[in-house]
Amino acid sequence: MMKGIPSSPGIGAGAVVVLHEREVPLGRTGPNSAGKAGGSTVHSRRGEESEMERFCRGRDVAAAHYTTLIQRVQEAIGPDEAEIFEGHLEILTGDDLEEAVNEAVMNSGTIAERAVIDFTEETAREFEELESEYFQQRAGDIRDIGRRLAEAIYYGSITDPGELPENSVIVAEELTPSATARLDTDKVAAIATEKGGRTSHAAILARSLSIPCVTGVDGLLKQVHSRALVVVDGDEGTVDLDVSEERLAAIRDRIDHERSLLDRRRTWSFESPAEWADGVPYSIYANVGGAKEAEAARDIGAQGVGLFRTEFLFMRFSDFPTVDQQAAEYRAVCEAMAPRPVIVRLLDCGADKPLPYAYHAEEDNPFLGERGIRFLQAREKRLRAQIEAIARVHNEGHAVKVMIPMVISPEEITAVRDLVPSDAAGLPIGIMVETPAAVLIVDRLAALSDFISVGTNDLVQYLLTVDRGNPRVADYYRELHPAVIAALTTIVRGAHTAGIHVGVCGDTASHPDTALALLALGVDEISASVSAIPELKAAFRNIDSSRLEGVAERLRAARSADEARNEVRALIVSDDPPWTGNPKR
Amino acid sequence: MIEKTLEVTNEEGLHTRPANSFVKEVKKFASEIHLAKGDVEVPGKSLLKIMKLGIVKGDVVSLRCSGSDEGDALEALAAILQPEGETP
Repeated sequence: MMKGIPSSPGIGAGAVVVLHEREVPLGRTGPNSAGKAGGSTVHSRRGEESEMERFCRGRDVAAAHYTTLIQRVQEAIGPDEAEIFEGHLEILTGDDLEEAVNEAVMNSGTIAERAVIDFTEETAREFEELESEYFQQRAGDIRDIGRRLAEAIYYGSITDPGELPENSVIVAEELTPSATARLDTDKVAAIATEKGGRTSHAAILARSLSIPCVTGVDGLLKQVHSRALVVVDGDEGTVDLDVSEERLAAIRDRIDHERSLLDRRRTWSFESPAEWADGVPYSIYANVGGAKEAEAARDIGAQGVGLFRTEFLFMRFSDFPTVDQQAAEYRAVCEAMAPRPVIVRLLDCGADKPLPYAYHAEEDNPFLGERGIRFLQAREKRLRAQIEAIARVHNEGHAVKVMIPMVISPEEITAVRDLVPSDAAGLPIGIMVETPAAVLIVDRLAALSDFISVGTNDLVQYLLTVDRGNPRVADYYRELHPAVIAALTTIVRGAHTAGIHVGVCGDTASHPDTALALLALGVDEISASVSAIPELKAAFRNIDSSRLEGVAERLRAARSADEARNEVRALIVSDDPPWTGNPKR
Repeated sequence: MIEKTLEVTNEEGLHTRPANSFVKEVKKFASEIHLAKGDVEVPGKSLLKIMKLGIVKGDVVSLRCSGSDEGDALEALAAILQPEGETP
């Protein structure tokens, strides 16, 4: 078992395909040179093609290769990604490289391949010395350019990795940008690399395609060989080597077994209406991070998307996605859910969710810093682009809504409304209530909003001033603390007085006891994680809606979080999940 | 020769993509163009040297242009370092 950096979640198993570099001998000339004498310096091959001529010919081959790549990437991924390869082409054909090679060839009699590799290696090291992680990672791009050029000089061509078998686990020292652009990713079960990190090209690509990936596995290439069976765990960051056929079969069996149980669970949840034991309906939505998850939400019986976390979308790109790219994603989520509503939360990055390519200043208190709508208001171009993309999907007839994160003042709502294009005036705009300020002036905020959604994770943290990630104080984090119940009561009253709906999309909506408390307090919709929905439905199907009467008063009267929790726990009947085949009912 | 010192507000600093746009823009002008960060000055037409400056948002850099179209060049290149709609 080898350990690396978890870079894209999920488990993948299959046979290794090592992406080898075609060996370029750096001590002698190659088959593409006019003479096969194999002299090691320019001087020994006087009269033959000069090293600079070989360099120029190789560079033409490499340039043609990059031009093809640019077109391929343009079609497969998009213009923004293609522009990065245009930059690589510029470096390849730029004066710096040519001058350095010329100097090495003329003064030291080095062969062209060696001169290219020496220069790109030296440059790559300089990049590794730079302060920003982004630029450190570019060292890989520079080495990639050098190797491709050396290969083109020596062989007169650049190889493609060729056809991959199904379920391939790609192993490489570092998955270079040009290599990833050539991969047939449909056949890739997982990726493991010896170098790189979470922001390396391979990691970004893997996340965008939902392929499990582990990077930075020290000594990986020495340990694995092609066709070995391995298991890559992108959550734990491990690579399990030389797994026997039996082990692999057992793992596949386990995956199959879990899958069949999950199938039954999903089917049950999809077919069971969202109703209490007495047939009274309630509303259950899902939180998603993209179109694939929206499909899963639909198939598990969600009645809408209560929270589309667009930061996940933004993290799948290596730079801010364009209006077109964003609109395509919003459309895909809406189409998966249609005709049910989709609430798109504006980019909520900063604090614990930095965007790798965005600039985040050092902050003493990131949770009190530039996050949520504040991040976007400081970058109006980005805010405008996101609203434009959502408005476009709204105008196509989709039931899409906009949710503003981290609101503390009415001006933030009007600022967003002002950016809605005039032809999309009907686009519903709501707010996420997750700050104490928003609770205290919820009446004024509700008057400007089309709906309210409560983000209980941050709300509980800010109300109780407890960082739930800090083990020393995690015990103070109580979701049913009397202050939280008082805040929820205020929010529900404020929303209902304004005649708008209130939902909850935090963690509290994903657990049967706290979700019951929310519904008892008058919340109109709960929006849970996709995987929590069957358990919620299974719990609620045993409870008569009439039993919720009076619960709100008792929750408000509870003197402690424990007392409140016992109040709702008493309603829950524990039995085996109905999809396991032996329900008690 | 004219010179302008400014704070980079471009969200991506001079990552590969904006740096490539910068170099493309430089090549449109006849003027000699240099970009400096701290004590290091590099020619504006070298993508590699510009990227080696490792410029990120918030860095203070100097643009130096000299030639017949230096004013236009300075303006066009400053717009890449400080795009509209992005505040420091």
